[in-house]
Amino acid sequence: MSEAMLRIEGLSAGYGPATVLHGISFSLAQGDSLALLGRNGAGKSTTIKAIMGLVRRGAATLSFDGQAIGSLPPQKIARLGVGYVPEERRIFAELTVAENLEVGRRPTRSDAPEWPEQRLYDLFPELHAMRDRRAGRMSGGEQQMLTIARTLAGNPRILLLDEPAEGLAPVVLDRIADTVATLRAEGLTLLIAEQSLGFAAEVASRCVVLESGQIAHTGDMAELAADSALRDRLLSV
Amino acid sequence: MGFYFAQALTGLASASSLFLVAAGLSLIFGVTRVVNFAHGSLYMIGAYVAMDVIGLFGKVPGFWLALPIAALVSAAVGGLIEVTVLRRIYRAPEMFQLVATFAIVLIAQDVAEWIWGVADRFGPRAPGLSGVVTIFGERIPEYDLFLIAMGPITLFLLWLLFARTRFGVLVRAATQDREMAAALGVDQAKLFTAVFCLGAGLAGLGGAMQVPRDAVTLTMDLEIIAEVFVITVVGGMGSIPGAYLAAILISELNAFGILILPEITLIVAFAAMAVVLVIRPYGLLGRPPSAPETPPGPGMGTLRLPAMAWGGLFLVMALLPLVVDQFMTVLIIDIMILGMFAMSLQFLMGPGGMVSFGHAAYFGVGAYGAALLVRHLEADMGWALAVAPVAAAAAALFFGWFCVRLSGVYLAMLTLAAAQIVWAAAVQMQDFTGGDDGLTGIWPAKLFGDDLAFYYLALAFAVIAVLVLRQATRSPFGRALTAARDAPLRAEALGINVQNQQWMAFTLAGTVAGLAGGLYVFKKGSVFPDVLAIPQSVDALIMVLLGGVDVLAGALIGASTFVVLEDVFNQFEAWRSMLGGVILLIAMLAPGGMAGLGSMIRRRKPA
Amino acid sequence: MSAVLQVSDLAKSFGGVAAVDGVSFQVGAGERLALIGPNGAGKTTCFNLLNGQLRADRGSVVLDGKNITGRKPRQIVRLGIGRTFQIARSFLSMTVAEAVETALDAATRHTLSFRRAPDASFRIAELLGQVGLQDQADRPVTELPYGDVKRLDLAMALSSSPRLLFMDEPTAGMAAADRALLMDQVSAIVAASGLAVLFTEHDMEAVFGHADRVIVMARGQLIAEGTVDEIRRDPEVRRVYLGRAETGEAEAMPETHV
Repeated sequence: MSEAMLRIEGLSAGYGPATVLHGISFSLAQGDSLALLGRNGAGKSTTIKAIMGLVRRGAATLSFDGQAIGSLPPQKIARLGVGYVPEERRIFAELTVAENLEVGRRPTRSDAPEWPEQRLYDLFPELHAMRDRRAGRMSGGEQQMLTIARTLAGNPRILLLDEPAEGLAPVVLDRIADTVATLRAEGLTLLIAEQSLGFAAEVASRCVVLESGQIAHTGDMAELAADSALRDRLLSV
Repeated sequence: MGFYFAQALTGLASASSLFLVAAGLSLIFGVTRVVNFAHGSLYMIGAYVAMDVIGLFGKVPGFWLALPIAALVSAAVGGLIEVTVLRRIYRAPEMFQLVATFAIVLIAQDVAEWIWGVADRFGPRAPGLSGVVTIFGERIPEYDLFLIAMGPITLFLLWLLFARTRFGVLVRAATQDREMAAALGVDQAKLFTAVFCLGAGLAGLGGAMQVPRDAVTLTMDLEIIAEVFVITVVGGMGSIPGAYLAAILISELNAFGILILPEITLIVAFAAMAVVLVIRPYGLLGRPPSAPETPPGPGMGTLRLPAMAWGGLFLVMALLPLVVDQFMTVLIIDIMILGMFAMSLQFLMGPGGMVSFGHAAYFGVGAYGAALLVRHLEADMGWALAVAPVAAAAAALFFGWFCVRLSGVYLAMLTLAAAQIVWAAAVQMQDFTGGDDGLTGIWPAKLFGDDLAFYYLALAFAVIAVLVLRQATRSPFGRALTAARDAPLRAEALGINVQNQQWMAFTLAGTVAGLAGGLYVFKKGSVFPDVLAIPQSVDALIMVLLGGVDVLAGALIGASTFVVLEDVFNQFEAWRSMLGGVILLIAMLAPGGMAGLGSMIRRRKPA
Repeated sequence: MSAVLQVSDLAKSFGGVAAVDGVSFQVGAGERLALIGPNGAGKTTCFNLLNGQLRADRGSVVLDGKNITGRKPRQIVRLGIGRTFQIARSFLSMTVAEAVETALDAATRHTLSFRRAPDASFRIAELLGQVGLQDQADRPVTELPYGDVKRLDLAMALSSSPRLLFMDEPTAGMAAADRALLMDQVSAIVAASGLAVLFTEHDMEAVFGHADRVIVMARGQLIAEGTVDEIRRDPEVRRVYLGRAETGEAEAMPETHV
């Protein structure tokens, strides 16, 4: 696994006194698309936040492109090319659409696809029409598009998506799934924390299922989606 | 009609400088979450630099060069402060940040005195704007009109900066959600420095603009800061349009308040603030902090001095006068009085978790209460000492009601504003309080006339204060208070009325401070408005921090250290800087204070 | 079975989006009722409406025949509802016994007193015994493992002898083995005292092992209600948990969140 782009070994993490993740390990190679599955509270979002340096992390090996990121602050991790799409979108509600994209903008890099403004608007034409609208006045689905576009504006090498499907109506969900699938086809590496199995099956090739902060299953995404006994045991009530 | 119009214009003109300074403070707070006490210093530096530039280049073009140069110099000084001091304490508890920036105030005062001397300076009228225009039959200075225009112009330029530049967009993003901005790769360190420079530059510009109106003095830093705190709190911390609205509101209230209550104009401002905060706790245009960070807060330790140790201490204290000389006896009286004052603040800050920057108000009300009783009613010492804590309790009950509705820096700023009201009342109500001349000739009863007798009186009071505060800390009352500090939601969900608990604690702390104040008057034989001023409040804070917030006895250690340090430093010219340096060192290196050093080392190990 | 808590048509919107949309249910005496649902279903909002942290737009909450809608959290506590927190934040400067003593002081409206209540030690020992912390009484709270912090939280919630207990994710943040133990303790307390419990939970083992009845929320509404077995078999519940591809009914879902 020496060619791993993102490597996680023995990661524990939590909030304040609570420990949510109890030593998990997995890795992604360039071009991989991996879904982190599990019921709510299993530790999916915490995993993503821990990679980004947004929550308390225990002693673990975290590396991106061979560089240790376990003790770097979020902005340094982002600048290495790790793009983070947060849960609940966290758009800058007081800023316009164009300004939100501006916050995400980073210099272009030779080792990642470039995302000039026009290309972002091509991906999400809806956003172009409302570029001067305050982001807080958009619908949930539009905000989800914006938060993905905002992260892409930083020309990331890997995209960490935290529950992108949450709270979206089916039509919008299809739209987001298509977009993420397009990004995957273009070779962007993806790590997606997701509760919706259907969404995950459309955009990921591998999966890691978490249960109570530990890895309960690792395998092929399509296999999990097809095996109803397995997925009922791991994901349903 | 014309008169009122003119008065309104005067108010608007005063608002401009205040707005610039408040906008800078608000901007810095919005992004870095630090309330910069030294903002008044940057304003003062701006004014002095402007004087120098005018001196160097003459009135023309000096004055017009002075404005940008003052802004740039203040911005540079601000940047220096951010890089050398603030950057190291962004993660420290709020109170350390406030105290550290106050240390900068002390150092800046010395530096300013060293560069510019103690004499007040009077700037020239602005060239080309030295005349008056007549509007509705009233003569309005042209420069006032210039100032009135500067407010909206600055507001507009700031709007352009924030709306139209990448820097502005990043600042606004970080103000809303700085964690998210960081996760998108925005470099916080650079952004914070830049914002600090900008805010400092605005303060410097504000200072330079005041030159043609007011004298440039070494006290203008603290004179403006209380008013600026009021404006930022009323406007909403972090909101620049809010700062403008509030600056106008407060300035107009001052301009018209002076017609109604010429003696106590600040009370009008305070009343306005009280009304605004009760209706909108986060100010006119402010909003609750988006992601409330859990306050690291003081007092994780459970340090307690056992009863035996207290007994031993007081036994030693009782025997001490028999072996030390008179000078030491008097020094120890000072330590006991200040120790009581510091202990009452420790109770507020430690178990109560409330940082007060205006605790001198209650010390001073006690002192003035006793002195006024003696002066106007010819009461004897016993009555005066009985009234001192009662008067302080009443004041604490009144101001505390407002203060406990806020928390953290908001509470600290409100306590400071409350103390400034009382201070202003003492200065302005000359017939009653003697104004700046104070009240003198308040001597103790014959029985306590000599130092030794007074020593034992002070000791008796100190014992009472310790017993009361210690019992308060250990009792259900103190426990519930600590519970409210440690986990307010949990406390409320157990049925504890958090605000009420804090209000009573605030009142108790004020009462004990008032007792110390009463004693202080008879020790000194006089009282001046200084006992109510910001430095007096900060002295108590320093004592508490020196000794450690966690433990009542720490306040006594802190008071002893402080009195001795002051005695030593007083021999040097730069004593304020030395004190400031010591505070900075404590804030950056030993946030547990001296009593907390032990527990800090213990705590560091497990991590 | 008589109802301790009767919730009728409870609703709350944030900026036009309905977080809780007409929820009605009841909790019977001595019943353990679990409230589950996927992220964003409105469980937390619902909880905060019940405990007084939030004010409902409409609907009512009745405790033992007494309308408690719109009361402040501390008033609701005094009327007989205890609560524990998802992220337990205890009184970090105290020992375990002191924290419980403080809770008892609060329960007896004693918090302005300068004198300690004389006979508290028996009650403290009893409360700590119920959650298995009797040997930890003199330990500082800062030294407790997180599971024990949650137990202490429970002991404090029980100190007012409530008739109903709200537990927000009682096992969140705990190690797997410890979860089962905590839920067993809760069940034992319920069996012994007749306390009713309403809890939200992610851990399905905790839900299925310790709930008498389950209600399921999705998109602000109750979509199912029943025994553990009924809920397990409910296709609607499976669908909200597994996402659309599972049942192929995705396109029929109402568009509430565009």
